[in-house]
Amino acid sequence: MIEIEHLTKRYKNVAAVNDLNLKVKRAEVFGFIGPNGAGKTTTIRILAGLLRPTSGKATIDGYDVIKDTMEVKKVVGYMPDLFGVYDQMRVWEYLDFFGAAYRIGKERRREAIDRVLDITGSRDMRDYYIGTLSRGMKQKIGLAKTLIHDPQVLILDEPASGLDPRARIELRDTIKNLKSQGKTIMISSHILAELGDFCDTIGIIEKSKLLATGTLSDIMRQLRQHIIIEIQILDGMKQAEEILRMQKTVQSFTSSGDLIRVEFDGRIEESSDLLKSLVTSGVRVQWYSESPIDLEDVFMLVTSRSEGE
Amino acid sequence: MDINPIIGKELCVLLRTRRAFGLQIAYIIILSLLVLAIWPKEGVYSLSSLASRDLFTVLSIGQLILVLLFSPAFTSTSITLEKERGTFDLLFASLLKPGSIIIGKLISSLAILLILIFSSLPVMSVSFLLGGVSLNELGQSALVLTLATLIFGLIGLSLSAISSRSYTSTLVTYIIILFLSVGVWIPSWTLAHLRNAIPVFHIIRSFSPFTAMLSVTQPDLLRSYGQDIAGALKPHEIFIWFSAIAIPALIACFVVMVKRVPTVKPHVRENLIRNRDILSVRKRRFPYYLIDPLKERSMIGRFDNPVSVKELRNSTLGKAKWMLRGMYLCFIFSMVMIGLASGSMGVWSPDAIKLVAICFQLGLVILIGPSLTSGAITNEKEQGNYDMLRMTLLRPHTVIIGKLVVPLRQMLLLVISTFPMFGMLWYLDFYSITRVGICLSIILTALIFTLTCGIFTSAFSRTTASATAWAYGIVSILSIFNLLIFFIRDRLSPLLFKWIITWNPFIAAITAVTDEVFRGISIWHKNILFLLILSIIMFILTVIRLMGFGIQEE
Repeated sequence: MIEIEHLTKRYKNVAAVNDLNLKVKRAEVFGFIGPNGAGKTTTIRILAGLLRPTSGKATIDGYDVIKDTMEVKKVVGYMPDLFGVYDQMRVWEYLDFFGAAYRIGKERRREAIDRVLDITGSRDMRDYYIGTLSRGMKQKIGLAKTLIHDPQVLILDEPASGLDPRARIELRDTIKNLKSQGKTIMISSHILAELGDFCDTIGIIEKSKLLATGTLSDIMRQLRQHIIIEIQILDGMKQAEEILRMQKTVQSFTSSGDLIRVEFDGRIEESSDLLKSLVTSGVRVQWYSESPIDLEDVFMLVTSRSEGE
Repeated sequence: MDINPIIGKELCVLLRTRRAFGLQIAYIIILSLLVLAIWPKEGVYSLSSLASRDLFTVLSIGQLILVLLFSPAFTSTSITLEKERGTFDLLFASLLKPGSIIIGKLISSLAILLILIFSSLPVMSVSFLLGGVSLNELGQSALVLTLATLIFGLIGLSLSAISSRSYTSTLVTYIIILFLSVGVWIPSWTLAHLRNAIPVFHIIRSFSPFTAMLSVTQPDLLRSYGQDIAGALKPHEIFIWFSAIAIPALIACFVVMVKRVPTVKPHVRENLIRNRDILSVRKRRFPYYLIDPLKERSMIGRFDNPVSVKELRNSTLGKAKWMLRGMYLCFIFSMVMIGLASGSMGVWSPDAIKLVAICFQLGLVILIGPSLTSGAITNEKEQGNYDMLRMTLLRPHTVIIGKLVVPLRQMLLLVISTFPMFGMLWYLDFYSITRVGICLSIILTALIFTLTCGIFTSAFSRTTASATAWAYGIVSILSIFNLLIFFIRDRLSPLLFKWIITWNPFIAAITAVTDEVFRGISIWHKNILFLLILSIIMFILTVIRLMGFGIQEE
């Protein structure tokens, strides 16, 4: 759905985006991660057709973002990181204006306004003046405006920044709902915890270069040769440690209290065998689990590796 | 000695910008071109030559106009920009004392203007070298110029401290400065029959730095118009006294306003009403509906321009309440003007009354017009709506037309509210509908020109404040600045002279209503043509500029 090939954007001698290649499939949620100033917003603005790249190519649904601007606008719904609202308009008037600006006929527009207000859970705000709304509510209206022309691709730049926890949870639910409707969503953030939950794939960008891309577990596997297994022992700690020392698949382990963290290099069956040998030798295991992949860990690993290089 | 950090920061930020450098260069080039244009053809030193006095006058008044145009741009955003960027509280949260902040802001904003005046001294001294102008007069002219700069600058600074938005403070500064420069002459023009009040009018009009400057450079001119009173203080002397009171008062106002602790207004909280019934209330009664039909609960129709509907719904001025108030004011003011003018019938000729009437309406257009559209594009950028507009399927010309239609409608309503004036013109012109029609056409053209000029500068500027400054600059050059040409009329070819004055809507209107003032000159039809062509060019340039509306190289 979204394809970026060798995309570069330079401001004089400074590269904001450097030779970026990326593919996002249809109906996929892609999380674009990176620190402030990494080049996320520049990439997103190029994709939205608002900024001309220095070189390279980007297409959305087969339309070139530079040549087929009008087609791209019809397909894409873009919500900038910072956006204003027309304070003295009512919510429905605001949506009516953007609907008309997207050339949606009067009758269809009426339905579209109801539809987007329902999706974003803001139907009861319909007659409110936008100037009187809180930040979270304004963000909802911004998203409703982005959805008014029913775009297939949504590009959301830092949609959750500045929102309180409740508003974040509501936003996350809305995005999950949109995902279930088959929308392709590209969402950028530097707050990692909020993305790990619902992104199918992620891309990590730092200092204008894309460092890694793929599913979370794919990237983790690329980065680490082994997985971490956490074992909580109820009884037989010494015996457990002896067994672990004898296993070839165990690279190393650390124990603190009743918890052992194992760096394991083997297949899933071998992991199962390890548990079996612990249990059959009389160790009472309370908990045995592969440590969950944390987006923050991935990010720190990717970026620290790039710094090392 | 440590320099005040605010002065250091401000001068660093300001003087290293291209704008400040460009401004200084442009300022000197404009003045030098003026000198070149009016350099006496004889090219010899001559005490009797009137050339050097005319040169002196043109340079002094020219500088005054340049200062008038530039000073709001530098001072009226000094504090508001800090407020808009959210850095105002940071300044006061630092270890800097409020006194240092205030002095720093005051000196740094006025410094650039004073630098401009000093850098022009070599150009000014040319008229002294030519002879005919004494050193004393040169000094007085420089003093009036400096005082005017301080007053204009301080008005801008004070308004910047009072307002919360740059746009508002810039606009109000321009209106006050223009009023102080020209408006103080209104009593002298309209109430000429009140003989006893003449000394009062003399004092009031001397508050204008232009009167003061003319009294220094062309004392005979004021005397010949009967505007000089024997035995009384000369206008420039009154102006110096006025400055001695106004400058400390303005500084005090600025200090008080900056020191005022910003408080959250209670009504801001009250705005968070969640009751739908209260929010749905909107005046839909008879007079409001006439002025404000689109506020009705109807969706944007197929043939409506979405941008113009949006503008009408979102703009403060678009609110029926404000429009009606503006219309009342215009109506009442025009009735008062008619009353005053008819009281002066015996003293003033019908022509003079016609002039006042037409100049009032043109003045209204020129004073308000540019500000209505100068934020059209820049406001969208400043408020973060521009990218979202660019993402829609709207075409540049739809946006521009949409942005022009609403202020055009609002201004037309204001002009129509002055209909008693048109009635008076019709009566004084022996019921000639043609002349009234011509006047209306000139006003309409000036209106289209000022609005287009505002949107043109808005498309090419980064901030609304600078767009407003440029818009007023361009409009003032064509409607006020080119009046200076009369001082050097003898040295210009008649063709060039006529070409320059043709741009001026005031002169065009005057030639349309009476033949008495400019005998043998009839330029109204050309003025309409010129200004319309210029408006079309500006419109096309704005469209081209916004072509990047779809995709933009940055």
